[in-house]
Amino acid sequence: MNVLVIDDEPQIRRALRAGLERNGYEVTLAATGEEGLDAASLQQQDIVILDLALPGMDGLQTCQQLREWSKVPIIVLSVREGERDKIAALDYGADDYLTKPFSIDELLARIRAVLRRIGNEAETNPSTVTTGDLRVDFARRRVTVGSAEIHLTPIEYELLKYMALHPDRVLTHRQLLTTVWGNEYAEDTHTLRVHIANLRNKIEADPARPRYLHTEPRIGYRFRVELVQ
Amino acid sequence: MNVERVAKSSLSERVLIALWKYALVAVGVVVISGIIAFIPGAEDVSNIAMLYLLVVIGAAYAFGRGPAVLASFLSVVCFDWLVQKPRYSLSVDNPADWLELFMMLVTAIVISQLTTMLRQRAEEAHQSEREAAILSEISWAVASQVHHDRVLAEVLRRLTELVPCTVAAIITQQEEASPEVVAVSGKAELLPDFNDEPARSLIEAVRQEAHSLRDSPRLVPGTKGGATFMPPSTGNTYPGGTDKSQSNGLSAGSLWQHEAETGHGAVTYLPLTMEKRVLGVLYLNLPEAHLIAHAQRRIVESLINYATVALERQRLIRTESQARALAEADRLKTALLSMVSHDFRSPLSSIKASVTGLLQEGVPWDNKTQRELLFGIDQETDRLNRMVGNILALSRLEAGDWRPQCELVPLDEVIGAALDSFGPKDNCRIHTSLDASLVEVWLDSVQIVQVLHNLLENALKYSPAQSPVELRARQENENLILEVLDRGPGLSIEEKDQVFERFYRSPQWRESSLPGTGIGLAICSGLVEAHQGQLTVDNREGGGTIFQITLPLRPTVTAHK
Repeated sequence: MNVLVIDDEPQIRRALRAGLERNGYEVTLAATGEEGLDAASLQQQDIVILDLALPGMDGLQTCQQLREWSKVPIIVLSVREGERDKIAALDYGADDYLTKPFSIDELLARIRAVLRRIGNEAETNPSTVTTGDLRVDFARRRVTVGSAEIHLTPIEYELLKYMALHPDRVLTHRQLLTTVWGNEYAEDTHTLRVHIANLRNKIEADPARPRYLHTEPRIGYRFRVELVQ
Repeated sequence: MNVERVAKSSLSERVLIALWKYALVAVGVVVISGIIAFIPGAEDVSNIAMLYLLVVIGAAYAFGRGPAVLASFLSVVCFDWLVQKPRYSLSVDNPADWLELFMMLVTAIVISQLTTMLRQRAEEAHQSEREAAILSEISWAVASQVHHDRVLAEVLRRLTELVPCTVAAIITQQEEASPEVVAVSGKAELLPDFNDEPARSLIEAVRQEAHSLRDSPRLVPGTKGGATFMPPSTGNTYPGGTDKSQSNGLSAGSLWQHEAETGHGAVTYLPLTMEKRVLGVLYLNLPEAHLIAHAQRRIVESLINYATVALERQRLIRTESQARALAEADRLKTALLSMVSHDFRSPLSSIKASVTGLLQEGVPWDNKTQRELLFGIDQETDRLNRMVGNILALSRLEAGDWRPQCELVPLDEVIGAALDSFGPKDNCRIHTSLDASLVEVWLDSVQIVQVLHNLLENALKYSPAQSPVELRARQENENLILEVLDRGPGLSIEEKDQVFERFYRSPQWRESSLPGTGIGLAICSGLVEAHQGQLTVDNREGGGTIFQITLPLRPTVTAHK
């Protein structure tokens, strides 16, 4: 597995390289966005770890440019409190984000989740998604929790379907709204919240502690898939 | 007519003066009659009656209407007695002479009226000219940037000239604070102590009362021909003097006027109000209750308005400077927060990533990588520590707690200490050149070492690796000049002014990995200024920057040991 780390902090690069190499990844380091783009084009990368605060070409631009020709999964790092950059990066096609400071274990877990998801997505359009008690059958448009069938409105079904097809991935408000409702609803986060709440009432055992529809505060939602042990 | 004089003189004096005027007029008529009687043939001169008109005009001009009318009648009587036939008799032979006498009387009275009127007009013109001069002076003072205290003092000076008061003062009161006299004119020793009862509660009551008023009170005609102050909202004329008949004595008018605590006269507390905000209180001690001449109403009102405007401007200036201070504090807070969130997180992230890596179980770390990670952690903790140190230094800079403890120290020792704080790799890049004549210098070595350290650190950090950094010391006149020169990118013109500002970081470095908080140079400049020196920056010929410290070899204040 090749990992490309784009970060301007030499100490972070050093620590990440040590931590990742020890866990069996091949690490390429880049200090600037330009260097990172070069490295990504020279060698096939399996995942890119990208710091958003970069001198010169910033992380967002790098992310945007990389996405123009590559589908390589990207995990962005940010020290900023502002969610705006993270949301923008996710909207540009980043797969996940991590807020600094983070532990190596957290990063490794994220990398594994992203890679696993990419692997699953490779199997084109599964006919069903099952996690825990929840089962979404796309062929028959049926949603069941345990043995009970859940009746969803068409929009709730579309929302759940889109999220279930992108498991373990942060989906920004904008991504959900534009795909399920359409471009003109891109800013209508309130509508989204209402529908998510309704969905949770229907499929979650305890809507206050959701098992499947996880909230990423200020950013969006994540459909969590429980690994079958 | 001077109101002040009238007001101050008693009634009997006034009657005496009037009597004198009438007597003088009578004497004047007698004198003219004498001239006519003693100059032979004078009575035959046609229009000899004109001579009497001189007295009438003179009386009208000098004494006014009453004496002039008296002069007219007296003249006619004397003319009849002296000139008209039969002479030395009041009887008239020729009926046509009656006509002549009548015409003379009418002419005399008309002339006396016209002259008096002319006189009044001239006086009025003079008065309004003076008013205009006063108002333009005051308005210039109010409008220009003259300090408000001087404006208020000038307004009061003019007011005491116009209004017969022994003392006038303007009192302001910030919320909860005690009243403060901001301007006074006249006999200041007559002012009551406004921090004490009853004056204090009077001011409080006036402020309470005036809260509902939009503007300062206006003058309305009062009794005794003068004018008195009235609140603009109430239409009823407030009877002159202190009215004790009001049920609780708290009606607007009654509050403002009180018997003087000492002696005769009355005291007026007048709220200076603008847009329902009581800005101050005008204190007037009038020897005779509210005798403000009617003609001066306008100008007195204008003066009061100007005082109000000056107070309002003072309030606005104060509000503005408070707002600016708040904005500045807010800016500092924002900068500090962004510094904590960004600059502190970077070293913390490195440390966390390294430590969690080292803590991972499983395959043991090879010695080299482990040492490398630990070395990184060590460096990053130093970096964090420096940041914390800088923030503390900044807070001392803010508190103004920078008094240098100067002593005579060898210059090479100071420079050596500054160089010692860098590792051998950095030291290779620093070239020093010292003026041999400089042996000992008078300074706080700890602080100047910190300044040199910060400047050298910046020079090393912002110039290409391997490029040399120079440190020069020399004497120029009575100053010690220390210079740090680098071959970095230099500074733009705007940046030259901004680099010493707290939290300023050049845009090209702001998002970079080069650690920096934008307070190092602010601290340098604060320390050098505390030494009565100067820290300047310029671009170096051939690229790079020169930071120059100019320190007086013998600072004046700290020269004594």
